[in-house]
Amino acid sequence: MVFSIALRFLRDRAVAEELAQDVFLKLYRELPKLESPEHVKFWLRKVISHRSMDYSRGARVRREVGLDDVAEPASHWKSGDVLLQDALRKLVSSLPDDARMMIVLRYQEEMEPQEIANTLGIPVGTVKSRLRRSLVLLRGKVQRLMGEPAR
Amino acid sequence: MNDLERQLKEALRRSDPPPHFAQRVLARVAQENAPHSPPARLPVWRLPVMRWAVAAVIVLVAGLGGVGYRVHEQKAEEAQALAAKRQVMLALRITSSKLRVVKQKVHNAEDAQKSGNTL
Repeated sequence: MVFSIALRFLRDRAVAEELAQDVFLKLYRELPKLESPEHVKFWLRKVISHRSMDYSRGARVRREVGLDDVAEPASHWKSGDVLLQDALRKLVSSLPDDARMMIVLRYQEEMEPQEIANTLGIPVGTVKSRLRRSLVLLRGKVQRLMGEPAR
Repeated sequence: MNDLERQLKEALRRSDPPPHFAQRVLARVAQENAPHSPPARLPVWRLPVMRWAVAAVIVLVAGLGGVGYRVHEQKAEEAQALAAKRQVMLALRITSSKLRVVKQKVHNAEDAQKSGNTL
């Protein structure tokens, strides 16, 4: 969960591992303060999300991904299409930091908007609106990439 | 959930951490728990206690030097006084012996005068 959030957000395995190790080390120090397994899970998601966004802001590792950078997937939507999934991950990485993290938490961790809001410390309304806008943006990019409307 | 969301869910599914990730975390935890190594040893002359020791020695040497100088000065004065006393005593002895000689001569002269008057 921890490594994967950082990886999907930063798309850099080495950095994701480094950040995940830092978070687990911090967890080891903070463990006495955490009250339950659920609390630990919430804490881990929160800390890795913030660490990843801080790293992204500091290192400017994210680069804008244009459609030309994305490999053309199969001509039709097909579940499990590796090229399509890779293309989607690259398109997600072109989103702004906060929107990207919301997408990762929503679709990797399957968190509800309220949980995302609690984790990132922002209003739930903001989460919902940014998720909607991100999906519209992604759909548009996918349509241009695939040459067919995405539902 | 529409197609795009389903595809996003598949594209962003959890990825396993690299092999030995847990061991590396545990190694860092163990490193954190390891007793801290003592600070690098300073050379003896740079230890704070040595500064105080050096200061104490300087004060001590300066103090003893002052005392020693005063003792030496006092002894020199005493020696000078003793030498002066000896000289005075010698002078008195010489004067005394000379006075005795003069007194003897005067006495002899009086005796001679007395015996001449009687003849």
